[in-house]
Amino acid sequence: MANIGPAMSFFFGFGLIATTAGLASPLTIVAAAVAIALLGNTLAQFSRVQPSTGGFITFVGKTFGGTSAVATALIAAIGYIVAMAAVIAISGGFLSIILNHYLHWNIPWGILTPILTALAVLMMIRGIAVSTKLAGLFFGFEMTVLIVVSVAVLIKNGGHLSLAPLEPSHISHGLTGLAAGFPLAIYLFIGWEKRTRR
Amino acid sequence: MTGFGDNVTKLGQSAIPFITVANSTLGAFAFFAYLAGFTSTLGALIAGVNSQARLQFNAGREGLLPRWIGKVDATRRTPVRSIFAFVSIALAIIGVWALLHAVHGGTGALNPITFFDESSTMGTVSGPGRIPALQPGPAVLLP
Repeated sequence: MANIGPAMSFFFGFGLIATTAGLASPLTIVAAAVAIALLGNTLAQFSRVQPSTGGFITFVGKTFGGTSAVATALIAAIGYIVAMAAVIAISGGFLSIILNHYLHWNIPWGILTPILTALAVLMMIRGIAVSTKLAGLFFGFEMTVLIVVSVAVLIKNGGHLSLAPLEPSHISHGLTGLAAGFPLAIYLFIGWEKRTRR
Repeated sequence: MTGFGDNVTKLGQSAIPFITVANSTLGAFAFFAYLAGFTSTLGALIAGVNSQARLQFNAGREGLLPRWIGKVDATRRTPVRSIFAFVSIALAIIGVWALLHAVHGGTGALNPITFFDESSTMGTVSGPGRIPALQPGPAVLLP
């Protein structure tokens, strides 16, 4: 779950989803959750029959042969590297924002990002147990804060609550808006597929 | 949505909507929202690279990618080569993106939130000529 980084995904992903899909943008997240659940079920079935660290690369290979497996491995490698590049960039970027906001220090994110990445790599090299424990701790903290802030906002705005964000008629440009917001909503869940690997 | 009074325009003007809402709702305690965002990013960085680099390590071990990626460190038994390759290419992608922005679009859009938006859809939804990436407001202007 730490791989998904719910707070990070929501902090940096939701604004663009809302701009793309409009007031009912939460529906794109619901649609993405359904799609992820269906795909998750499929991968879980594969994983039960063929447990593998390779996940869907192995499943594609076993089903369609070596060429498909190599193609999947290359596409997955490129896709994951691009996705993680965003996380790597935002790690230094957000620290830069925090330092600027609270201490008025102007340290460029281009300096902070490589430093944080190097520290993370050092931890990963030390072994998966240490890094996983720390990632789990971070996850517990972020979930607590997400829930507390969400509940506080709902209480504060209790008198103005409406179901408009959940009405399909409020999606910008109908299906076009839903289609444009859908891949962004899927992006919020990246990391979920780790649960299907063994 | 509720925190912005269901106003999408206002939400779209905020670089990090959740932080804006946390600031207006919790005041000084919004610090914890900043901290949660930071720990979340670090957690995703550690867990993500760990997991995804292992996927490529496994592909290397099975001969689907170059076999040298599938080797582990002799003492720690961790997929060091895969991790280094993964992180190096990711940093190179950020560097190339920054260079292209500097050459074509100026450095105004050279912030990590723009990169996050554009890379999340490989520039197909957000990017030059499409929906503009969110621009940080004065409170989060980057150096």
